[in-house]
Amino acid sequence: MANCMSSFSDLTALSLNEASQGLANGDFTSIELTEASLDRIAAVDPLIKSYISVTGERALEQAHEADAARSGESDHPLLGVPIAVKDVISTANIETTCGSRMLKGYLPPYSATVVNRLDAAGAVMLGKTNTDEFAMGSSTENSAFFTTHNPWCLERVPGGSSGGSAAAVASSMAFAALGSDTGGSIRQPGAFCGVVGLKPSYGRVSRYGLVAFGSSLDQIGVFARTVGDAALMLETIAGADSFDSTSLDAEVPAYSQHLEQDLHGLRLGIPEQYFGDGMQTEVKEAVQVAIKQFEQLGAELISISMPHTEMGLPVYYMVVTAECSANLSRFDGIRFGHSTQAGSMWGNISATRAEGFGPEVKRRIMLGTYALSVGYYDAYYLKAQQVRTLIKEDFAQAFEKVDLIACPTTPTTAFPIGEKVDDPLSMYLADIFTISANLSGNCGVSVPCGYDSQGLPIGLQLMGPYLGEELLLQAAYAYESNTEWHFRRPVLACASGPA
Amino acid sequence: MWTALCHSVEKSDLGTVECLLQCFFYGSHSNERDAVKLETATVREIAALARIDLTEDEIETFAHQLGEVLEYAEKLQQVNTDSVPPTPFVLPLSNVIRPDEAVPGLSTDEALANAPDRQGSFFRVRAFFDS
Repeated sequence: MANCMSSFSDLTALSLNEASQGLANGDFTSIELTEASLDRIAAVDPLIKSYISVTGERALEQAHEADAARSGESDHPLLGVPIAVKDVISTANIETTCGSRMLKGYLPPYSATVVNRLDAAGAVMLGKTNTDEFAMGSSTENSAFFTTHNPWCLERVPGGSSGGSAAAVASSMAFAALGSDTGGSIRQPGAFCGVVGLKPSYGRVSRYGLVAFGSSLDQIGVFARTVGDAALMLETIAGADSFDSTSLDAEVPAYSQHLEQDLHGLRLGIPEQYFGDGMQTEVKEAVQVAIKQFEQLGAELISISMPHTEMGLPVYYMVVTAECSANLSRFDGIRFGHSTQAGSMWGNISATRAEGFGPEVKRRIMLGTYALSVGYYDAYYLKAQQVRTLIKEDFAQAFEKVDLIACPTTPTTAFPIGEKVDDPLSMYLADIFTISANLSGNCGVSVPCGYDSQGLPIGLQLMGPYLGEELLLQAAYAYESNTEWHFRRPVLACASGPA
Repeated sequence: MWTALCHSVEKSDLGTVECLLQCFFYGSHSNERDAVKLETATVREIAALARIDLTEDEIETFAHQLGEVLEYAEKLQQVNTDSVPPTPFVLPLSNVIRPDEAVPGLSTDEALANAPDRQGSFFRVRAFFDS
């Protein structure tokens, strides 16, 4: 097997902002950039398996259009830049599977608003990335098609559910990617793959065209190799959308233009509940070192308590399963998707769902159906919603004292493929530090803050107040600018010759 | 399952999350907790409500797994929620409206393009009622 290091001298090794600048300068064309990305995918994706589908022909058409549209003035920075989209986000007439047999072959009749906004900016879509089935999971092992491999160690998971997008960005198979985060599905794979993973505040980004999982929790967000790249992506996709009544009509700051900010006076909250004794020691230490660096950059460190943190997981698994059991009732084999004939209407539906859904999806629908059923609603679903209020109040009270919260993104680095696959509760634990921000609606970002002794990336999570993305990104940018973790890229052995 | 959970983590080369598991899953009475299996009849009822045909193996597996997750969710009962309102949704939004203006939508053919079976401009399904 040849080493892929040679490919890092090529265009795919650039950051999104560098690629954008190169296009603007005329150093290379979008066609060249897109061809380099497609070559990179052909060389390394057989090992990583990030993409469920690569839309190369269409990408080159878009690249051609981008080159033709370049005027030299007021071009959008994403014009001609190749990106990837998680396969739970609808793309008109391009297969959107949600990682499920249920939607194998499904061609959405319309595109998600985020996809339309990237199209309007002139971004080039390379393909659709792997995900746990219907975004239910923390490793991509629940994909009906295949498991994505962590670029830093192929025997380990990339995290999930947006593992395909995270691994694609980490291994330079896209300059940035869209993901969705319901309980940590952007931040956790961001941490496992050593890239920036940003979950915006609930309502910041339209979800029109995102296949619904947990409607009160789902949020579309982005992966990128730098904070500045993530900022550019966010400002492109954020903002009100008349097709999504839960999207907020709030002004979208030019995040990428306001990244430089002196951190003197920043009050950084350190929640004691996120630093228990049970974490992987190297993770805890790396995060503590990162927090010290914030202090050196001028931030004031303030210990805070978020007493209901440990209730996040049980609340989440009652709320998200209840919501998914309702959302996934639409998969009946009548209007779209997999369809099985079993002799009667109800028989067809039950057989369709038995064949189309994988084990984790069935498990969560069953759990949610139970939690919502007569006699159990008060004990499980209502109770969980009440405790959710207390978790939300933990955040509200914290943000009276501090500007941002810093903690680990995950309790461990990436775990081995297969380790937790038969053990749902153990798998759910990978999200313990990310779930609360979904329950409260806050924004959060994971940025690389070190590597463990096996060379696996460690993520620092920053969480911000509601619609506090600007400050969140400024703090992340200041940290990134004073560290070199984000320059490290995985060394990959190619499947077939040098890239 | 509780034992298996602990075992799988202990034997892993991560090897450090045991205390975390104690904290998050067992509470302070870890040794007194046994996995609680759901009745298989209950699992069948839920499967009927959820419209999913399950195999006998799946029913048995889910009886264990759902029982364990529900047992874990019992943890919520430790929290005093007297007079705490529920949060079904985090935004202070209600009745979002827009001007009632006609805009182009999907054509019939577009809407039916993914239908497994159609008849004219309709989705075709089996009869609801026995004759």
